[in-house]
Amino acid sequence: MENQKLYKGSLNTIILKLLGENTKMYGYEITQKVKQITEGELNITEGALYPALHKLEADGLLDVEVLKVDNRLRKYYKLTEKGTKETANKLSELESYLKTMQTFIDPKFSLG
Amino acid sequence: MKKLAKENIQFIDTYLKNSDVIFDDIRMEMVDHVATAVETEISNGDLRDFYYIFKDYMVKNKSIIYKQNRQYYKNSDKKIIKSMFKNAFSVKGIVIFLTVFLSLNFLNKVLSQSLFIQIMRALPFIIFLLFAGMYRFIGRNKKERFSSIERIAIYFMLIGQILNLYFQRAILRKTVILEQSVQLIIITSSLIFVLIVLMQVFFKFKREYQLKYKNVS
Repeated sequence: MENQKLYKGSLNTIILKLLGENTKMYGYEITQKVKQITEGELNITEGALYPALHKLEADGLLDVEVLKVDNRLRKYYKLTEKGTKETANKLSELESYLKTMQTFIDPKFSLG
Repeated sequence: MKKLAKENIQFIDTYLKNSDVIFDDIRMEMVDHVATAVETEISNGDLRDFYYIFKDYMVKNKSIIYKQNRQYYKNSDKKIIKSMFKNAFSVKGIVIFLTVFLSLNFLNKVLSQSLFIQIMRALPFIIFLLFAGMYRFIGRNKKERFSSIERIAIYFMLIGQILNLYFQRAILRKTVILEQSVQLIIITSSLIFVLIVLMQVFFKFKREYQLKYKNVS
Protein backbone atom coordinates (compact mmCIF):
# COMPACT_ATOMS: atom_id res chain seq x y z
CA MET A 1 0.00 0.00 0.00
CA GLU A 2 1.04 3.59 -0.60
CA ASN A 3 0.35 4.67 2.98
CA GLN A 4 2.61 2.16 4.78
CA LYS A 5 4.56 5.06 6.32
CA LEU A 6 1.43 6.15 8.19
CA TYR A 7 1.31 2.78 9.93
CA LYS A 8 5.01 2.76 10.82
CA GLY A 9 4.58 4.74 14.02
CA SER A 10 1.90 2.34 15.22
CA LEU A 11 3.85 -0.87 14.61
CA ASN A 12 4.74 -1.44 18.27
CA THR A 13 1.14 -0.86 19.33
CA ILE A 14 -0.09 -3.32 16.69
CA ILE A 15 2.37 -5.99 17.89
CA LEU A 16 1.50 -5.43 21.56
CA LYS A 17 -2.22 -5.49 20.85
CA LEU A 18 -1.93 -8.79 18.94
CA LEU A 19 0.15 -10.37 21.68
CA GLY A 20 -2.37 -9.15 24.23
CA GLU A 21 -5.06 -11.10 22.42
CA ASN A 22 -2.96 -14.22 21.88
CA THR A 23 -0.91 -16.02 24.52
CA LYS A 24 2.18 -16.26 22.31
CA MET A 25 2.99 -15.66 18.65
CA TYR A 26 5.97 -16.05 16.31
CA GLY A 27 7.15 -13.57 13.69
CA TYR A 28 5.57 -15.03 10.56
CA GLU A 29 2.30 -15.59 12.41
CA ILE A 30 2.19 -11.89 13.36
CA THR A 31 2.69 -10.77 9.73
CA GLN A 32 -0.07 -13.08 8.52
CA LYS A 33 -2.47 -12.12 11.31
CA VAL A 34 -2.04 -8.42 10.53
CA LYS A 35 -2.59 -9.10 6.84
CA GLN A 36 -5.70 -11.13 7.65
CA ILE A 37 -7.23 -8.59 10.07
CA THR A 38 -6.61 -5.64 7.73
CA GLU A 39 -7.65 -7.68 4.66
CA GLY A 40 -4.27 -7.11 3.04
CA GLU A 41 -4.27 -3.34 3.66
CA LEU A 42 -1.32 -3.54 6.01
CA ASN A 43 1.68 -5.65 5.11
CA ILE A 44 4.37 -5.79 7.79
CA THR A 45 7.73 -6.70 6.27
CA GLU A 46 10.30 -8.86 8.04
CA GLY A 47 12.72 -5.94 7.96
CA ALA A 48 10.35 -3.87 10.09
CA LEU A 49 8.82 -6.58 12.25
CA TYR A 50 11.88 -8.31 13.72
CA PRO A 51 13.80 -5.17 14.74
CA ALA A 52 10.57 -3.97 16.41
CA LEU A 53 10.14 -7.30 18.22
CA HIS A 54 13.79 -7.28 19.34
CA LYS A 55 13.46 -3.72 20.57
CA LEU A 56 10.33 -4.55 22.56
CA GLU A 57 12.19 -7.55 23.99
CA ALA A 58 15.19 -5.38 24.92
CA ASP A 59 12.80 -2.91 26.58
CA GLY A 60 11.47 -5.73 28.73
CA LEU A 61 7.96 -5.60 27.22
CA LEU A 62 8.21 -9.03 25.61
CA ASP A 63 9.49 -12.34 26.80
CA VAL A 64 10.79 -15.07 24.52
CA GLU A 65 10.26 -18.80 24.42
CA VAL A 66 12.09 -21.02 21.92
CA LEU A 67 10.47 -24.30 20.93
CA LYS A 68 11.40 -26.98 18.43
CA VAL A 69 8.71 -27.06 15.76
CA ASP A 70 8.80 -28.94 12.42
CA ASN A 71 12.57 -29.63 12.29
CA ARG A 72 13.56 -26.13 13.33
CA LEU A 73 13.61 -23.77 16.28
CA ARG A 74 10.79 -21.24 16.57
CA LYS A 75 10.95 -18.12 18.68
CA TYR A 76 7.65 -17.26 20.33
CA TYR A 77 6.98 -13.84 21.82
CA LYS A 78 4.65 -13.14 24.72
CA LEU A 79 3.84 -10.08 26.81
CA THR A 80 5.57 -9.52 30.12
CA GLU A 81 3.74 -7.87 32.99
CA LYS A 82 5.34 -4.56 32.00
CA GLY A 83 4.29 -5.26 28.40
CA THR A 84 0.66 -5.77 29.40
CA LYS A 85 0.63 -2.40 31.16
CA GLU A 86 2.37 -0.74 28.22
CA THR A 87 -0.20 -2.21 25.79
CA ALA A 88 -3.00 -0.41 27.65
CA ASN A 89 -1.00 2.86 27.59
CA LYS A 90 -0.15 2.55 23.90
CA LEU A 91 -3.74 1.77 22.94
CA SER A 92 -5.02 4.73 24.91
CA GLU A 93 -2.39 6.96 23.23
CA LEU A 94 -3.40 5.66 19.81
CA GLU A 95 -7.08 6.23 20.56
CA SER A 96 -6.35 9.80 21.62
CA TYR A 97 -4.26 10.31 18.46
CA LEU A 98 -7.05 8.98 16.25
CA LYS A 99 -9.56 11.30 17.93
CA THR A 100 -7.28 14.29 17.33
CA MET A 101 -6.78 13.34 13.70
CA GLN A 102 -10.50 12.91 13.31
CA THR A 103 -11.06 16.52 14.37
CA PHE A 104 -8.92 17.59 11.40
CA ILE A 105 -10.55 15.26 8.93
CA ASP A 106 -14.14 15.66 10.02
CA PRO A 107 -14.66 18.45 12.58
CA LYS A 108 -18.42 17.73 12.86
CA PHE A 109 -17.68 14.15 13.91
CA SER A 110 -15.55 15.30 16.88
CA LEU A 111 -18.38 17.48 18.18
CA GLY A 112 -20.65 14.47 18.47
CA MET B 1 0.14 -27.64 5.84
CA LYS B 2 3.02 -29.50 4.19
CA LYS B 3 6.18 -29.30 6.29
CA LEU B 4 9.71 -28.95 4.93
CA ALA B 5 12.17 -31.81 5.36
CA LYS B 6 15.16 -31.52 7.66
CA GLU B 7 17.49 -31.21 4.63
CA ASN B 8 15.48 -28.25 3.31
CA ILE B 9 15.74 -26.48 6.68
CA GLN B 10 19.47 -27.20 6.72
CA PHE B 11 19.74 -25.78 3.20
CA ILE B 12 18.05 -22.50 4.27
CA ASP B 13 20.29 -22.32 7.34
CA THR B 14 23.48 -22.85 5.33
CA TYR B 15 22.35 -20.35 2.70
CA LEU B 16 21.75 -17.64 5.30
CA LYS B 17 24.99 -18.48 7.11
CA ASN B 18 26.90 -18.08 3.85
CA SER B 19 25.11 -14.77 3.32
CA ASP B 20 26.69 -13.31 6.47
CA VAL B 21 23.83 -13.97 8.86
CA ILE B 22 26.44 -15.26 11.28
CA PHE B 23 24.63 -15.10 14.62
CA ASP B 24 22.73 -18.22 15.58
CA ASP B 25 19.93 -16.39 17.42
CA ILE B 26 19.24 -14.03 14.49
CA ARG B 27 19.58 -16.76 11.84
CA MET B 28 17.37 -19.21 13.70
CA GLU B 29 14.46 -16.77 13.53
CA MET B 30 15.10 -16.02 9.84
CA VAL B 31 15.23 -19.72 9.00
CA ASP B 32 11.84 -20.26 10.63
CA HIS B 33 10.38 -17.24 8.85
CA VAL B 34 11.63 -18.28 5.40
CA ALA B 35 10.68 -21.94 5.95
CA THR B 36 7.14 -21.01 7.04
CA ALA B 37 6.77 -18.70 4.03
CA VAL B 38 7.89 -21.50 1.67
CA GLU B 39 5.55 -23.99 3.37
CA THR B 40 2.67 -21.53 2.97
CA GLU B 41 3.45 -21.22 -0.76
CA ILE B 42 3.40 -25.00 -1.13
CA SER B 43 0.12 -25.23 0.78
CA ASN B 44 -1.36 -22.53 -1.45
CA GLY B 45 -0.82 -24.85 -4.41
CA ASP B 46 2.71 -24.12 -5.66
CA LEU B 47 3.76 -27.53 -6.98
CA ARG B 48 7.34 -26.62 -7.90
CA ASP B 49 10.38 -28.09 -6.19
CA PHE B 50 11.44 -26.55 -2.85
CA TYR B 51 14.57 -24.97 -4.33
CA TYR B 52 12.61 -22.94 -6.93
CA ILE B 53 10.11 -21.65 -4.37
CA PHE B 54 12.93 -20.81 -1.97
CA LYS B 55 14.93 -19.05 -4.69
CA ASP B 56 11.93 -16.93 -5.71
CA TYR B 57 11.22 -16.02 -2.11
CA MET B 58 14.81 -14.96 -1.50
CA VAL B 59 14.99 -12.90 -4.69
CA LYS B 60 11.88 -11.04 -3.55
CA ASN B 61 12.72 -10.64 0.14
CA LYS B 62 16.51 -10.86 0.46
CA SER B 63 17.18 -7.18 1.11
CA ILE B 64 14.33 -6.91 3.63
CA ILE B 65 15.49 -10.00 5.51
CA TYR B 66 19.12 -8.85 5.70
CA LYS B 67 18.03 -5.43 6.96
CA GLN B 68 17.03 -6.93 10.30
CA ASN B 69 20.40 -8.71 10.53
CA ARG B 70 22.17 -5.35 10.40
CA GLN B 71 20.03 -3.87 13.15
CA TYR B 72 20.88 -6.42 15.79
CA TYR B 73 23.60 -4.31 17.40
CA LYS B 74 21.28 -1.48 18.43
CA ASN B 75 19.16 -3.83 20.49
CA SER B 76 22.21 -5.70 21.78
CA ASP B 77 23.73 -2.42 23.00
CA LYS B 78 20.50 -1.53 24.72
CA LYS B 79 20.35 -4.94 26.40
CA ILE B 80 24.00 -4.80 27.53
CA ILE B 81 23.88 -1.26 28.91
CA LYS B 82 20.54 -1.87 30.65
CA SER B 83 21.85 -5.06 32.26
CA MET B 84 25.07 -3.32 33.33
CA PHE B 85 23.14 -0.53 35.05
CA LYS B 86 20.78 -3.02 36.65
CA ASN B 87 23.70 -5.00 38.06
CA ALA B 88 25.70 -1.95 39.08
CA PHE B 89 22.88 -0.36 41.06
CA SER B 90 21.64 -3.53 42.71
CA VAL B 91 22.40 -4.33 46.37
CA LYS B 92 24.90 -6.95 45.14
CA GLY B 93 26.54 -4.34 42.89
CA ILE B 94 26.90 -1.83 45.71
CA VAL B 95 28.36 -4.52 48.00
CA ILE B 96 30.87 -5.50 45.29
CA PHE B 97 31.93 -1.88 44.76
CA LEU B 98 32.33 -1.26 48.48
CA THR B 99 34.30 -4.50 48.90
CA VAL B 100 36.72 -3.53 46.12
CA PHE B 101 37.01 0.04 47.38
CA LEU B 102 37.56 -0.92 51.03
CA SER B 103 40.04 -3.68 50.10
CA LEU B 104 42.16 -1.22 48.15
CA ASN B 105 41.89 1.25 51.00
CA PHE B 106 43.08 -1.44 53.38
CA LEU B 107 46.06 -2.21 51.13
CA ASN B 108 46.88 1.49 51.07
CA LYS B 109 47.09 1.49 54.85
CA VAL B 110 49.09 -1.71 55.39
CA LEU B 111 51.50 -1.63 52.45
CA SER B 112 54.39 0.71 51.81
CA GLN B 113 53.50 3.49 49.38
CA SER B 114 55.79 2.27 46.61
CA LEU B 115 54.43 -1.30 46.77
CA PHE B 116 50.85 -0.03 46.95
CA ILE B 117 51.33 2.13 43.85
CA GLN B 118 52.88 -0.77 41.98
CA ILE B 119 49.87 -2.93 42.81
CA MET B 120 47.44 -0.19 41.82
CA ARG B 121 49.17 0.23 38.50
CA ALA B 122 49.05 -3.46 37.66
CA LEU B 123 45.83 -4.71 39.26
CA PRO B 124 43.20 -3.34 36.81
CA PHE B 125 45.26 -4.59 33.88
CA ILE B 126 45.69 -8.07 35.37
CA ILE B 127 41.94 -8.29 36.08
CA PHE B 128 41.18 -7.02 32.58
CA LEU B 129 43.43 -9.65 30.98
CA LEU B 130 41.93 -12.38 33.17
CA PHE B 131 38.32 -11.43 32.36
CA ALA B 132 38.96 -10.77 28.67
CA GLY B 133 40.69 -14.18 28.46
CA MET B 134 37.74 -15.88 30.17
CA TYR B 135 35.32 -14.11 27.84
CA ARG B 136 37.37 -15.13 24.79
CA PHE B 137 37.60 -18.80 25.72
CA ILE B 138 34.20 -19.36 27.31
CA GLY B 139 32.06 -16.95 25.34
CA ARG B 140 33.44 -16.90 21.83
CA ASN B 141 32.81 -20.16 20.10
CA LYS B 142 33.07 -20.42 16.32
CA LYS B 143 30.36 -23.07 16.24
CA GLU B 144 27.83 -21.02 18.21
CA ARG B 145 27.69 -17.30 17.83
CA PHE B 146 25.13 -15.24 19.69
CA SER B 147 24.62 -11.57 18.90
CA SER B 148 24.58 -10.03 22.40
CA ILE B 149 27.50 -12.13 23.65
CA GLU B 150 29.67 -11.11 20.68
CA ARG B 151 28.69 -7.48 21.12
CA ILE B 152 30.17 -7.53 24.64
CA ALA B 153 33.59 -7.64 22.93
CA ILE B 154 33.14 -3.96 21.97
CA TYR B 155 32.79 -3.05 25.64
CA PHE B 156 35.89 -5.04 26.56
CA MET B 157 37.80 -3.19 23.84
CA LEU B 158 36.53 0.14 25.14
CA ILE B 159 37.53 -0.63 28.73
CA GLY B 160 40.87 -1.95 27.42
CA GLN B 161 41.52 1.42 25.76
CA ILE B 162 40.61 3.33 28.93
CA LEU B 163 42.89 1.05 30.96
CA ASN B 164 45.66 1.50 28.47
CA LEU B 165 45.50 5.29 28.82
CA TYR B 166 45.21 5.05 32.59
CA PHE B 167 48.03 2.52 32.81
CA GLN B 168 50.36 4.62 30.69
CA ARG B 169 49.65 7.73 32.74
CA ALA B 170 50.22 5.81 35.96
CA ILE B 171 53.57 4.53 34.67
CA LEU B 172 54.70 7.98 33.57
CA ARG B 173 54.00 9.34 37.02
CA LYS B 174 56.93 8.25 39.16
CA THR B 175 55.52 9.26 42.53
CA VAL B 176 52.03 9.64 43.87
CA ILE B 177 51.44 12.00 46.71
CA LEU B 178 49.11 11.04 49.55
CA GLU B 179 46.08 13.02 48.31
CA GLN B 180 46.41 11.42 44.91
CA SER B 181 46.32 7.91 46.36
CA VAL B 182 42.64 8.40 47.33
CA GLN B 183 41.90 9.50 43.79
CA LEU B 184 43.85 6.47 42.51
CA ILE B 185 41.80 4.14 44.72
CA ILE B 186 38.50 5.59 43.46
CA ILE B 187 39.52 5.30 39.78
CA THR B 188 40.96 1.81 40.19
CA SER B 189 37.92 0.59 42.16
CA SER B 190 35.60 1.97 39.50
CA LEU B 191 37.50 0.31 36.65
CA ILE B 192 37.61 -3.04 38.44
CA PHE B 193 33.92 -2.68 39.29
CA VAL B 194 32.94 -2.00 35.65
CA LEU B 195 34.91 -5.08 34.60
CA ILE B 196 33.14 -7.22 37.22
CA VAL B 197 29.73 -5.90 36.11
CA LEU B 198 30.57 -6.62 32.46
CA MET B 199 31.51 -10.18 33.39
CA GLN B 200 28.23 -10.56 35.32
CA VAL B 201 26.33 -9.44 32.21
CA PHE B 202 28.35 -11.84 30.06
CA PHE B 203 27.53 -14.83 32.30
CA LYS B 204 23.87 -13.76 32.50
CA PHE B 205 23.57 -13.66 28.69
CA LYS B 206 25.45 -16.95 28.40
CA ARG B 207 22.98 -18.62 30.81
CA GLU B 208 20.01 -17.06 28.99
CA TYR B 209 21.19 -18.30 25.60
CA GLN B 210 21.84 -21.76 26.97
CA LEU B 211 18.36 -21.88 28.49
CA LYS B 212 16.59 -20.47 25.47
CA TYR B 213 18.43 -21.98 22.54
CA LYS B 214 20.70 -24.86 23.48
CA ASN B 215 18.51 -26.83 25.82
CA VAL B 216 15.55 -26.95 23.45
CA SER B 217 14.50 -30.50 22.71
